[in-house]
Amino acid sequence: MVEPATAGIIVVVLLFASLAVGVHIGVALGLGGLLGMYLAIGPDAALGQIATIPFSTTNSFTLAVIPLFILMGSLATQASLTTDLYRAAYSWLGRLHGGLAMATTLASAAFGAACGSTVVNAAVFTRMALPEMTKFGYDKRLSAGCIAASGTLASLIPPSILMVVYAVITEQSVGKLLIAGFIPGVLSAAIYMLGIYVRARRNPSIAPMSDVQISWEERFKSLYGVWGIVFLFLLVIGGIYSGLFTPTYAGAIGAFGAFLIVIGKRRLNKNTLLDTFKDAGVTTSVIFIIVIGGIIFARFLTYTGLVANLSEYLLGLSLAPYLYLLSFAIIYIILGMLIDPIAIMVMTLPVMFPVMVGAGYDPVWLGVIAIKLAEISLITPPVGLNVYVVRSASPIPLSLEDVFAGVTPFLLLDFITLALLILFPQIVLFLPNLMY
Amino acid sequence: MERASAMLERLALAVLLVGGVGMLISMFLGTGDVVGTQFFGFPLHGAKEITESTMVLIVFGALAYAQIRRAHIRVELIHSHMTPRIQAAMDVVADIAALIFFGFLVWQCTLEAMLSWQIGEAADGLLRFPLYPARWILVTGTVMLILRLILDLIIDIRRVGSGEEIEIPGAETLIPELKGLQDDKERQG
Repeated sequence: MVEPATAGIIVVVLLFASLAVGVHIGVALGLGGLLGMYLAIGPDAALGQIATIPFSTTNSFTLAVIPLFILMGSLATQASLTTDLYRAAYSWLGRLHGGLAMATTLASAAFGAACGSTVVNAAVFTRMALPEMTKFGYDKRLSAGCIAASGTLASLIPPSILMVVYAVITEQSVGKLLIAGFIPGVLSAAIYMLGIYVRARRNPSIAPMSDVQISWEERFKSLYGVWGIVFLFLLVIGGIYSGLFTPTYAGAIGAFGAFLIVIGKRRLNKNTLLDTFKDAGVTTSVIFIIVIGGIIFARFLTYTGLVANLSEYLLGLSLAPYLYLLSFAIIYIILGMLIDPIAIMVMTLPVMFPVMVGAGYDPVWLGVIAIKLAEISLITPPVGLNVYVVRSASPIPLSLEDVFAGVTPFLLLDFITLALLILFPQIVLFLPNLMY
Repeated sequence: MERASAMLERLALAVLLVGGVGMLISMFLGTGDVVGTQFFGFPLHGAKEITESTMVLIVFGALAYAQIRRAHIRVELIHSHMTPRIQAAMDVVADIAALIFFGFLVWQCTLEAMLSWQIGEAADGLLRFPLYPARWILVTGTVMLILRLILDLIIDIRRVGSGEEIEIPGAETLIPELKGLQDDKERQG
C-alpha cells in the first residue's frame, strides 16, 4: 500500500501525461482513478468501482435528461428553427447600428433555448449569418467573433448539458441549476448586444447601416415562425420551475415538442431520423464515457481521504473568500484553454466544490459561475473550441487569427458579465430561490 | 481486415439505431407519463424503469460507432502539432490505454451481469423491472468497442511504419448542419 498523498501525486502526473499524449479523456480519468485506488487501498477496491460505476451511472433516471436534451437539440436543428429565429431577430433589430450582429446574438440565444450544444449553435449560425453579414459589408472579424461568442450562450440558457453535469457531480438539484442559468444567459446576450451597438455606433465602417425597409406588419409576421420554439421553451422551463415534472421528463416533453415541430415542417424522413440518431447517440456516448471516468476518478479522491485533507488544508489557510474564488476562476480559465469543459468539471469539482462551499459560496451560484467560466474558455486561445468551429464551418475565407481577434471584444464583455454575477449574486439566485 | 471493419461498422450502426429508437421510446413514455399523471390521474407504470434501461442501450450502443468516427474527446493540443508518424504512435498509446480500461470494464461488468441474471435482479418499484438485460447490453456494447479498438490498434501500428495520415469515415457528418456545407465544398472542389 502507498500513502494516499503519494498515490495522488503519481496519479495526477500520469493523468496529465496521458492526456498530453492524446488518451481519451474518460479513459485517462478512469484508469487514473483505478490505479490510484489500487495503490492506496488495494485491487478489490479498484475492481469494485469498475464493476459498479458504468452501470449505475447510465442506468439512471436523473442522467437520462442528458440524451433527451441532446435529442431535443438535434431535432430542433433538423427543424431549421434557426432560419426563422434569425429572420425574426433581423426584422426587429435590422435598422439599428450593428443590427445584423445583434440579431445573430439574439437568435443564437433563442436557439440556445432549444439546443444545449455550443458547437452546433456556432456551426449553424456561421453557415447562415456569416454570409448575410458579409453581404452587408460587416467587418468579418466582428461577424465571426459575434457568432463564436454568441454560440457559447447555449451552455447557460437552459436546457444546458454542462449544467446537468455540474448538478450531478456536486449532487445539487438539476432543476434549480437549469433555472438559475436563465437570467445570467439573457444578461450575457444583452451585454453582447449592447457592446455590438456601442462599437457599431462609434465606428460605423465595421457594421454599415442597412437601408432595407421593414414594415411593422413584416415584423409581426416574422414572429409567426418562432412561436413553436417559444412555446417549447416555456413548456420545458415552466414545467421544471413549477415542479410539475422532473428535468428528465422536461427533456422528454421538449424532445417530443421538437419532434412535432419537425413533423409540422414536413422535414421528418428516414434521413433526418438517421442523422438525429447518429448525432444524439454519439454525443451522449461521448459525454457519458467522460462522466463515468470522472466519477471513478472522484471516488479515488474521496475514498482515499484526499478530498477531505486537501479541502481542510485549503480552508485552513483562512484566506479571504474572494481569493478562493479568484483561484477557482484562474484554474478554470487555464484548464479551459486546454481541456473540454465537461472534463474540467469532473476533474476539478470533487476537490474544489467542498472548498468553495466551505468558503461560504452558494452551490447553485457557483454552478452558474463555473459554466460562465467554461463559456469563456470556449473562446480563449489556444483551444477555444467555438473559434475552431466557426473557422471550419465558414463559407468565406477566414483565418484563426481573424476569429480570435474577433472574439477578443466579446471576451472583455464576458468579464463584465462575470463581474456583475459575482457582485450581485441575486441575479443568479433570484429565480431558483423562488422555486418549491 | 477491411471486411471485418465494414461488418463491425454495420453492426455498430445497427446497435446505435436501436438505441435511437429507444431514445424515441423514452421520449414518448416520458411525455405519456406526464400527460397521464397530470391530466388523467393515470401514471404510466414502468416508464421510469424503461427509460433507465434504455439509457444503457443509448450510451453503450453508440460506444463502438463513436470510436469508428473517432469522436471520443481528447486533448489535441500536442497531437495536432506532431508529424503523422508521431501522431500514429500517440494513437497507439491511446488505443492501448482504452483497451486496458474497457478490458477491465468488460471483465468486471460481465461478472455483475451473470450475478444479476442468476439472482433475477430487478429495479425497486411496483413493476420489478428486470435489470439483467441492460447489464448484458452494457457488456455487448463494450465488447464491440473492444473489437473496434483492436482494429484501430492494428491500423495505427501500421501507420507508425508508413507515416500515412488517417482517414475517418464520415467524421464531418456528425453535425447534420455541417454535412450540407461539406457537400457544398465537395461540389466546389
